[in-house]
Amino acid sequence: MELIIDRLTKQYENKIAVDRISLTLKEGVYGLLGPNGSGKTSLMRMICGVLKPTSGEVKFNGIDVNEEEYRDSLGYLPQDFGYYPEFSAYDFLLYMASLKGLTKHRAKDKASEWLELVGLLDVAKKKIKTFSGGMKQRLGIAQAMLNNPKILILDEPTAGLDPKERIRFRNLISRLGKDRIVLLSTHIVSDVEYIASTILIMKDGQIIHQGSLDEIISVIEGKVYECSVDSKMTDYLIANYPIINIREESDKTFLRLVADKSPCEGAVAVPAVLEDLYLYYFNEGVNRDE
Amino acid sequence: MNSFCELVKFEYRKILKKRSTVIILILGILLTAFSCVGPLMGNYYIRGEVYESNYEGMKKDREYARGLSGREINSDLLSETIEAYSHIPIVEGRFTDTDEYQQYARPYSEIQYMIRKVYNIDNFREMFSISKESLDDFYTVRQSMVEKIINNTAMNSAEKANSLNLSRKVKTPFIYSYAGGYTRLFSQMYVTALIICFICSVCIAPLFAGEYTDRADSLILSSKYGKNKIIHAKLFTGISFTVLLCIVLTIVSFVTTMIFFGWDGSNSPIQLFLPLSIVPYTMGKIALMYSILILFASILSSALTMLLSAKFRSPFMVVVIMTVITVLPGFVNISEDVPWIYHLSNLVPARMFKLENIINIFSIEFLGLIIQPYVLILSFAVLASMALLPFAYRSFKNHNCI
Repeated sequence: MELIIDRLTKQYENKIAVDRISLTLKEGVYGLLGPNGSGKTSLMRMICGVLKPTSGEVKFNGIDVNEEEYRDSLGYLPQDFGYYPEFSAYDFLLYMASLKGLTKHRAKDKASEWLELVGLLDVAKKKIKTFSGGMKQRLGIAQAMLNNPKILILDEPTAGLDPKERIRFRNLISRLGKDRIVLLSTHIVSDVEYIASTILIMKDGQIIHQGSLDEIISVIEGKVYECSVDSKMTDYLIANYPIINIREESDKTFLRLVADKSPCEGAVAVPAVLEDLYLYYFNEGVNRDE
Repeated sequence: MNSFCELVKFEYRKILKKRSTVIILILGILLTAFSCVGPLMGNYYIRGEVYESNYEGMKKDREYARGLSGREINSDLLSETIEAYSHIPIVEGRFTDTDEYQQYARPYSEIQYMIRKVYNIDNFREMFSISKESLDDFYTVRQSMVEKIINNTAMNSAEKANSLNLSRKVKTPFIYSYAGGYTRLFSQMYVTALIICFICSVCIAPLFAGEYTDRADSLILSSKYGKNKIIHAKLFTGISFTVLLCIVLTIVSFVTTMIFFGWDGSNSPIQLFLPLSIVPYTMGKIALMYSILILFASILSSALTMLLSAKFRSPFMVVVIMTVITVLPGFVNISEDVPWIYHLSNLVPARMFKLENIINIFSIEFLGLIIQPYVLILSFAVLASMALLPFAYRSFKNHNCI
């Protein structure tokens, strides 16, 4: 089982959203991490065949993305997608099942099975317009799984979910990654940290890092420091180092930053986490915790 | 096939689950039925006082006409008509308000209309100067008038010859018959066709564009049948919905009209309604032909709606454009002086709905063939629909979810 992405490029008028990305994905959960606008969604849409690439190709076991056989192997949960508000959850799944080529009998079985798995069986006959965001997301994963896809593409599946639902969702996805390719995009670092066997970091349309969590973090391992300093030193450190976190304390300022060697007296090297790397790369680290 | 039927079923559910669709369908049926009997509403006034209700008037006219039904239109009947009209005194205002008209002339009003058309006279009093010989030659005079009109058009000689030839096939003498149901139906069907077009554009516009606005396009296009069977199913749904609606509203129009105005007249020549028409068909045949043409013109309109639906991102925009396309051509008057512009303008769906554009005196030479307007309109509607649907198909298939 192999999903090959070969020099995939998407260019909008004067912006390159995806820039010659080449990847080979095998069974497992892949976490695609990047800020908004980094090209994650465009990449996923091209992998799902709903966005035409400017150049490059996508093939699964030698089958082109534009072929029916490819789509037969695909499950897709788009980032911001619509339901038919007047349909019940059960009807919606039956419709999606018929789109996926399931027989009527099998469609009914699968719809019931997945409604139970995502905890929506008791509201199966209720109209989707009465569902909460989390329920809709769960219905989304159910529709994506109806055809038991070999490739599962999930675009920010945990966005908008409360922490309890997010954890539930994470566990569900983690189970799904055993015998298929799961590509999960998010900008919620902890989601990826927990469930992805391989992490892909995307910036400006390119994959700038890929590997396991340890491999990825090793880039900044031993370079993350924490210190509490006065205001003069705070200004100096902010001006000279990538800051991951700032927190005002009673008479000092707590900083977490990245540096090749100890940036100041009293700075303590701490174990790096994925969030450090993410904030380091995307320069979103200045979080002032009041 | 099974999955295709299943997908069609869901497309119908998407259309019919919307409350707005149900409301517009019910309103459409009511409006159609109501507009059929619209002329029967209200009263006829003489000197400011109610003389009779329009319904009573129709019943009276129908009885008069039925009294003449079965009679050959010949010099005797024409003379009787002229004699009946000669009782009407010269008055200011409407001659139909006089007692003499009501008492003597009214039963012959349709014959009088025919005389005025054939002898090309504006005022009924000019009838009195028509000679007995001329009345005896009624059908010769009529044919001469038809040929004069044909020869005065800008058709080429082959087209004129064809129209003349067709006009000579009209069987004479005409046997008079009451056909008020059919003549009302001919007037009504234009309104019915506009209602069909409007309902179709509202219900079909979301077929593709609704998926974009509902943001369900990415789910559909990434599914197994998302780029083939579902598009076929949507196109089939759009066309079949139009056909079903067309059949329902045509039946509503036909049955309502016939119930109120009477079922008689299906075997009467169309010339009783359009005295100078060149087509040798009966009212029943014309009604059937008219309904078929409206059906195919509506299918063309729906095919266009589906193409726009696949192209545009908003169903509302599609409805606005289709409303303009449907309504606007009805207000535009195209001269017959340049026949190809005139014939081309009659290929817009809204103009296809007009009986006078379907059966008129024109013949059309096209690719070496000489055909009648209804053949051109029907052929165009079928071919254009078939040409538009693949574009709609491709447009949705290649839609980029951005």
